Amino acid sequence: MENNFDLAKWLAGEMTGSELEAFEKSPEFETYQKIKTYSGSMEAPVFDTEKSYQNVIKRANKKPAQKQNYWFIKLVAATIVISLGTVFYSKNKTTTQYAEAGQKITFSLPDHSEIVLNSNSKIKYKKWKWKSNRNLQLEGEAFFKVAKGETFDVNTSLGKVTVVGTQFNVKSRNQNFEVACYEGKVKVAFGNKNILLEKGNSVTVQNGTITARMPLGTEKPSWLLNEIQFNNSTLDQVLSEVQSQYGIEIEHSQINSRQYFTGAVPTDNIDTAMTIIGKAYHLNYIKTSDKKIILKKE
Amino acid sequence: MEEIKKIAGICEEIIFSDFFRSHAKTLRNYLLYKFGNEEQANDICQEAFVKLWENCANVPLGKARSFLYTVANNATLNQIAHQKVVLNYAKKESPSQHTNESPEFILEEEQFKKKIERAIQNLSESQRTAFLLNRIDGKKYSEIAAMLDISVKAVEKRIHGALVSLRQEIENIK
Repeated sequence: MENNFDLAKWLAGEMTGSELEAFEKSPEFETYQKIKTYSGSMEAPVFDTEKSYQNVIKRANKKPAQKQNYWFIKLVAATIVISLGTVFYSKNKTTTQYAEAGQKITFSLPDHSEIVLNSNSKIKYKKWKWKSNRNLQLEGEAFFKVAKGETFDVNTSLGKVTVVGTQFNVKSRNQNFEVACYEGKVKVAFGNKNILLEKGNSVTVQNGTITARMPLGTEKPSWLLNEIQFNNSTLDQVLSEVQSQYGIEIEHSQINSRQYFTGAVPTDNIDTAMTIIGKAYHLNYIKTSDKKIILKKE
Repeated sequence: MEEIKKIAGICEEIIFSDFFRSHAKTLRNYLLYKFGNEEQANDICQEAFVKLWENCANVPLGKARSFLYTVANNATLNQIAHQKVVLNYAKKESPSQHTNESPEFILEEEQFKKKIERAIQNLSESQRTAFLLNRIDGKKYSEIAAMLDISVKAVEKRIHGALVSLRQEIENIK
């Protein structure tokens, strides 16, 4: 055996300094160098990973053993669930935040993310299990300012938004799903589609298809500034939003307009709001009570 | 992702397939170096993965690789004696393969290739597998150690031994 040099170290390129110098001068070095070069350019026969994988799957047509044992695992799981269920029941309760028509609510999640809930909107989440179940259900519209490094999912009936340390607005009303990202990035999923929304962009989805992708004009959703911003909205959409903002009823059954509305309407002054809408659609409005307005043709 | 993998385990087909793709080729090559027959190497490699799939519930992902190698090694015990390992040379041009080299040089080079191939056949099984996993599959000593469930020192000893035997064999033939 030749033990003068640590050949493993040399092959790995870890031999340095005087040791390497001495080795390079030794008579056996030339052959070792050749061995290194030639063995480094050798190749094994081609391995067909895909074909081989298909063979494995074919040969393993038996179900994995775990599936056969499932009944046992289920039984154990069921026993645990039943015995501990009562203990966890109170911790597992869902917290609901609800903003009535004409009202806005600000609250924090357990991770200190802030949420502003717009009028006539609801958020449900599990306070106690927030760490393991970062999920909330939204009906209506809300603005989220997510604490740095935190992540959670906002589920709505029309789609899902996944977030990482960001500020964004989600609106899910009737068939209208709108997401606007004010900071960071959010992932929006609806139907079987997925899109990534970057800072300063918004997307509108109607009946499962994207109807608009637009840059944002403001740094906060307009409703936070006591305004509602509409982009190409129908009269029905405009009125239903105004109704939920002010908590009033607007009678407009006699009006049939296909005209689209783009613009802003205040949320703190019903007269201005109705005047703007009236002018755009050539309508007059009559307040019959505090809670009811009737729209008529000019 | 690592967390999810740990929880979901090898019984999830996505994870199994992912695991297959990252380990099958090396296992096949290891078996090839070990006993020389490509067909058998492919066969035992697949068999080891089938066994892993069948036992997925009992094998945590962290133990899956050593499970594979254990199954493969046991299978090898029943196999016939070692055959010649057939290896190819990469077509990539090495500095010594320029066309302006003299015919004598090219001839010498071919002879050297033959010698080194023969010398590799004559290595002990443990030296050959460690040496070729490093030279052909580019595995680090620490990776080989983890694969074979031996210490890094032991791998280094095998590599050293392999180099010494190769040189002796090549120079004796001269």
